[in-house]
Amino acid sequence: MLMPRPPRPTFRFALPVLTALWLLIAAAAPPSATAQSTQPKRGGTVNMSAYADAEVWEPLGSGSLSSIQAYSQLFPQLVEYDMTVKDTSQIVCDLCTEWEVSNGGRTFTFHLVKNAKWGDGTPITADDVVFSLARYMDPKVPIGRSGLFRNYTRPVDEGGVKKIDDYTVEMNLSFASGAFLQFLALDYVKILPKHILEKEGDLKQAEKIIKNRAWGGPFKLDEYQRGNFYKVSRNENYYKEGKPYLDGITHFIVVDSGRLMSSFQAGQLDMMNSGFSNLTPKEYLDLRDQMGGEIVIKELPGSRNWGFMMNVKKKPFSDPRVRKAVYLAIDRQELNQLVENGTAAPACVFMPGFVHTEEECLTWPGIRPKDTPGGQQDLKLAKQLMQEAGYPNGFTTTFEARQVGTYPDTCTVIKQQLEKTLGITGPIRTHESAAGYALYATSRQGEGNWDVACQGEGMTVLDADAVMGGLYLKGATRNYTNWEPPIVRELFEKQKVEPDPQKRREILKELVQFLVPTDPNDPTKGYADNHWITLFWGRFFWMVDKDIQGFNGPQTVQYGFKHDHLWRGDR
Amino acid sequence: MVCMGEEGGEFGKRMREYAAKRIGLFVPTVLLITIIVFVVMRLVPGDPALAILEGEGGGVYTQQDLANLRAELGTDRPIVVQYVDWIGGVIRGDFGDSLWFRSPVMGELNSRIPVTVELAVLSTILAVLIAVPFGVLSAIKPNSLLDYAARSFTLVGIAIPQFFAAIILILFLVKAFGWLPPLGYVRLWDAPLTNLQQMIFPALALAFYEMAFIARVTRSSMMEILQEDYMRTARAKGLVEWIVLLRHGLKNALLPILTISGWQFGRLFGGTVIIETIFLIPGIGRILIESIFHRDFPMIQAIIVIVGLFIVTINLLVDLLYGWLDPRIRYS
Repeated sequence: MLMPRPPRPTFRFALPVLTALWLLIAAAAPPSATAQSTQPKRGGTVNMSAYADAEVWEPLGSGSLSSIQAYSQLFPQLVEYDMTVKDTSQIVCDLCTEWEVSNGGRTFTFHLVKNAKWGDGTPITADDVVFSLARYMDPKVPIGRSGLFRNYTRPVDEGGVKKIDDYTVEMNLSFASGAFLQFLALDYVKILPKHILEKEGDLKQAEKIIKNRAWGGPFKLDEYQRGNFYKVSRNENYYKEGKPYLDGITHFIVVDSGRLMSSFQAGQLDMMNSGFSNLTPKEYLDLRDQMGGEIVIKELPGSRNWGFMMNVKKKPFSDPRVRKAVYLAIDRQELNQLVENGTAAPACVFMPGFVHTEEECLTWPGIRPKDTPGGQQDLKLAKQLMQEAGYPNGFTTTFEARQVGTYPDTCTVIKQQLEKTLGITGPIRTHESAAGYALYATSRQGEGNWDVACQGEGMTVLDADAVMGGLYLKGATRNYTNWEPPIVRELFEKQKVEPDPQKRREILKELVQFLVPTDPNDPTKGYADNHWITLFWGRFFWMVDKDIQGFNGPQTVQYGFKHDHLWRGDR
Repeated sequence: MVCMGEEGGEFGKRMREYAAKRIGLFVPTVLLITIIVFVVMRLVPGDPALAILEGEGGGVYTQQDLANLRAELGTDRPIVVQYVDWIGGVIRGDFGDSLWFRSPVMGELNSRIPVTVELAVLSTILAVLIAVPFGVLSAIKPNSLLDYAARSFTLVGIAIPQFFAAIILILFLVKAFGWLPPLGYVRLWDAPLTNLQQMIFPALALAFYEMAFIARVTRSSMMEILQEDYMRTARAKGLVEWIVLLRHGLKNALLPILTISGWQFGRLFGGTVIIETIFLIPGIGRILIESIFHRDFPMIQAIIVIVGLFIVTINLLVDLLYGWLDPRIRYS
């Protein structure tokens, strides 16, 4: 049989392909960096990563973090957290010039700036403020995160929010509260153009914002490619003189964590647009190490309550002794090391520093290290409680975890610990995110189809009210069994109206003692009842290029998205 | 392989009968797809209203909010009512409103379908352009170094999942060149070079399996053809070797390659789900992932029905082409 002899076909084929690839890559080589300056300078653009696409482009009834990251740059707020200083928990005016508090702390009067305009040239006035806030206060609308302040205000028709004149707005509360302003200052509480909302009904689509030039914040929306990117540029009519410093920002939606890390390494991204991303703490630290000094990781305070939920409606977790035994047996130091790379803060009931310090919480039974005499005493008591409850050799249960972040890892570690110490074992079931929520929600009405679960709760603000509303009150986001002993509600109501911070802290300490053991010398004291075990307070990390200046990390991941104070140091 | 001895009238009649039979199966197949998709979406645990209210970081809502949203989305109605309502819209080209984006589904998909089609077409072109010469060279030099290399490549290509190929490709680009395809999709007709930079690597990753598969089929098909009498006759006539290989060999070996390429083209749509996510391509694969996470039933249903329609149509065309080329098929 005759066999053909083609002349070196592979090389002839490969050469043009490799050349074409090289040319494609060379055509897109990034420019090199330049020297840094120390004074804020206008100009330059920044590429940021967004962890998900925006659900909607306005805050009404929304709890979506990916949305607020997108529209926060476009709209003003009445007040905001001061992102220009290191202590970003301070609240300052945004659209207002000043505010007065009267009527025993129950009336807030805000005076507005007079040079603010919407993108179409219409002045921003008290009408816009009242209209926007009244929308969030409407009880028929889901409270979301934009309406959290309405827990403190009177109804709109009873003067909850009202116009005094074109540039003065008054808000009246049901009771004096230190937490009210914190919720009002969240990025979610945006002021939107009344005249455009009346025409369009809502601003949920970016196209409506672009068409109507509906922005009044530091940036205007130039382009939105759904699922891909959104691009904003400086609003020249912004009411804060000289700001924003940047010419523009392009936010690229990067869902895949591998691609996110690679894009930072390839110099395609300058920073994340929030402290919330799809990276684990380990991935953050790995990326920082790989990139040397090119990027800086800003560590945010622990505002992510990582917990272990127990279904109090089902045996054996209906027995508080079993719940306390589990609370005491979990080795939080090991868990922190394995799941969070040792970055998390101790498992105080309220965020560390608010009622108790990290150091105090670390001495509490259950939280202190297991290899200390106190830790050993905790384990001994845990076993004793299990025996008293009728489970001396443990039992089998099912551990549930949503297939999100480190929930499955958390459950794996806890299961191993409980198996070893108390004999509690069983399978771990993972669920797609929405399916997991649906499973947990089964216990809202009936007994529910789950026993225990690993689940977190991110705080909107660093205040006790946020913890209570997220975890401990009936109907709270993560209180899927509607657990609420009367004393919990009683103490919550008492602290809510207490204007003196010190007295408020004392009330909360009483609540803490009901929820967990706090006496290092006697672990039998405390923990009357609880449905939730705080494992640790997870931190968030915000990755920023070393050339981006003016950045200060927020206290929680729920604010700090206006970016009007950022500037490029390499210009 | 068109039967030259067949009478024109008989050929046309048989072909029409064959085409009618295949087209007749098309409609029930599509209808079945819609029913399966609709029912399966309702059987999967997870409530879209809950997914919307929970948000990513845990939303704040009451049970009344949940009930109101279910009523607003229409998910509290009986499944049959929901299906009839939905299929009526689908016939008119209206897939309803996205539960997540709160806007018409087709409005969201209109800009994404061409992106995914471009990716699939580019992948198919790359796969065929690289795999066919590879397969032919491997066939004409069996058991040579080149053949071993080609066979190893095809084995690896078939064994490696697409997502892994994509990750390896990205790592290679970052480590070797400190470069990645530009972020932010640009349309082909707006900036062809940038578009090519963005699409060539995902297309390569997507084509990896197809390339290996087509190369294997080409090799075996070509080796079979090379043994045929008419190949020896062609050489005996004194034809130049490359003419013998291309005109008489490859032309006849193309039939199975054509079938497989058509089938693979449909299969590529499945691969785009992962590849588009990794390479940040705003096609229908990427929105499908987001929609699944958010329990966006109308969007998921629309995408699956559209992709299903596309695959069924391509299979129909390939079947018709096959029937036209090979008389054994239309007579069977």
